[in-house]
Amino acid sequence: MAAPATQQIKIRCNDEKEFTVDRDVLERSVLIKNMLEDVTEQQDAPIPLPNVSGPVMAKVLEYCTHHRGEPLPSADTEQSQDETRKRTTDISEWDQKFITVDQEMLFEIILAANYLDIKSLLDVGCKTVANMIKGKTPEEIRKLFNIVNDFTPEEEAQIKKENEWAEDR
Amino acid sequence: MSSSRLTINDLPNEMLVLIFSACHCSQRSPYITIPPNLNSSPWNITLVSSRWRAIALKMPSLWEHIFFDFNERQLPHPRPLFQFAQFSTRTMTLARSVLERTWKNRPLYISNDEELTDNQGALTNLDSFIPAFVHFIGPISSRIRRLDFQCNSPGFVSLLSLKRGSFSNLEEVTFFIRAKGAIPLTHRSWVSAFENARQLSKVTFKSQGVLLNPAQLNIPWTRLTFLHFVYTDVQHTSLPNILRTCQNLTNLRLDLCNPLPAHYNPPMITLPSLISFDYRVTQTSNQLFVSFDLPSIQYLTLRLMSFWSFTGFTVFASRSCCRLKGIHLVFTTPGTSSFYVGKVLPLLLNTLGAVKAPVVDCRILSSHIPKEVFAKLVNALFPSLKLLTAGTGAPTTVAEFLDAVEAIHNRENSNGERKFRTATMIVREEMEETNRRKVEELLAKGIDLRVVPFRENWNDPPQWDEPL
Repeated sequence: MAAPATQQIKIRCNDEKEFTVDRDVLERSVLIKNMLEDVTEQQDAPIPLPNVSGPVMAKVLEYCTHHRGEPLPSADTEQSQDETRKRTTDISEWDQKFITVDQEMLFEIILAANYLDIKSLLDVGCKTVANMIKGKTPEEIRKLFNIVNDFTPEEEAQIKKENEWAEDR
Repeated sequence: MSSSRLTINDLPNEMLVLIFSACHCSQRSPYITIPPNLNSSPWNITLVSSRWRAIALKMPSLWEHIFFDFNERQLPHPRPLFQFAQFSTRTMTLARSVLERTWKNRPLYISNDEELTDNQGALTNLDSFIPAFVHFIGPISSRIRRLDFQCNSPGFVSLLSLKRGSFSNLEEVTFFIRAKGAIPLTHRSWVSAFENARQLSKVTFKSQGVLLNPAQLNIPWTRLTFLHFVYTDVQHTSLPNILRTCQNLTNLRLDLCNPLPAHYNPPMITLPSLISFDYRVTQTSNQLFVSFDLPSIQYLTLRLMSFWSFTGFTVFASRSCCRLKGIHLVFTTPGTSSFYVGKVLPLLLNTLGAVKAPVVDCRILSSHIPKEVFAKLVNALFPSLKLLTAGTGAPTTVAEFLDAVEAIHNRENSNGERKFRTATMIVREEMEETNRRKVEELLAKGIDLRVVPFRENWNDPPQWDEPL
């Protein structure tokens, strides 16, 4: 259904927080875009988003508003974008500032981007975590993310075998 | 999302797969190193936790680019001299387990570097990692799309053990052989492994102290689009015949270091598809190795090392440069550069400019570029110029360059538009106050003038789609 660009859409998060947003901003999410295309009549009821909380949605909307109007990745461009993504962890200045959040919010944004199908935001989130891991030893990574070393004795043996000469050097 | 505190452990496996891919891509190179570098991806990821390891080991894309670092520093210290067996065995055991993490129908990209101390030619074939490496790549050779083979020991003779026609899907290969003792690579069979490489399109040769005879390399030359000889000792009698065969070349680099015989008459070669050519001419030869007819040439790099003869360049200009978009000239003439560039460059530019080539990107790197050269650029040559880059040494040259930039900027085409876009000035020293003021003046006029410091990599091949 063709709709004017200024159409306002209401969404409701899992904590009952509601947002009224321009349709073109919301359509950065492929999930919501598809939902809206499936609706034949204008509805006043808010779209329920049971997997996203209000504070996280506010951040996601900040991102979508900033990037509104930019072309969405199409099926044709997806492969080349994957290639680009594979070769770089460059994040634009604005995106870097946007994603400078605590770890919990960072992972919430990644999950929300995945659920809402916003590829560029998912990409920014994953690259940010990748940059945090880059150049660190396994022990430093564990400390950074509070991960427990839980290798089985079999895995420990295999790891030791793989790296035995590292101790010789 | 849940109300409890979310951590990375709460992300589903699919998210970790995306993060690990991004980690791997954030490395400078897609190649994983063997022996492992425990600070780099994917090795560090596999050592974090059982779950991370299980996920990473099931991601074939992380393990398809393998770089074998056979450098002496990898050997245990203290070590008995030239005891490679134990190290080679460990390396290859790990390499085989890495291989098991890849899918058998997926391509592989293999690279190695061997750097060992050769005590005046004392290395033997047994004092080398290469035999073990060749033993490893033999069974997987049909999966290899790109092979970068480097060694400085006589171990390269173990290439002879590869089966004829092994690399059926190879697309790109680099040979960098720097064995001491000038062992000639002229054995016919060392190269038979590449004779059925029907997908091969890119070949690079580098050599130091080894006389290379590419005629003995039985590869499908006619299919090649990319051929580079970099600092190569090559048999000059065989190369022209090979180049004549390469009728589909689009990218050629000739950087040869062997002297030509006296009274050498450079043969004429036509390469109809060549778009980009990087040609280094040295004082040792004092003339062109070959003269070229290049009807499709668009990007030309000439590195003139105390070179005085211009016969070949006249041919270049009159027959080859009508489509030229980019020209990159490098002069390395310590001591006499001012006189030399003043003499050579105007002549060369005049010759090239005689064809009114639509050059948009001109880069001239020399310690001194005289005023008359800039004047020619402004007044006669390259009416379509958009990008000018020059290396400037003396303060007077800086001033002349700035004058030239201003003059080019003021030049308008017939529609009254200014085509000129960007000038980049490479400076070696702090600029004088008068020149600094001039730069500010030009910037205020809206000229996109960039002043960049001299970089050691200024002699690298230019990236034509990405101006300096």
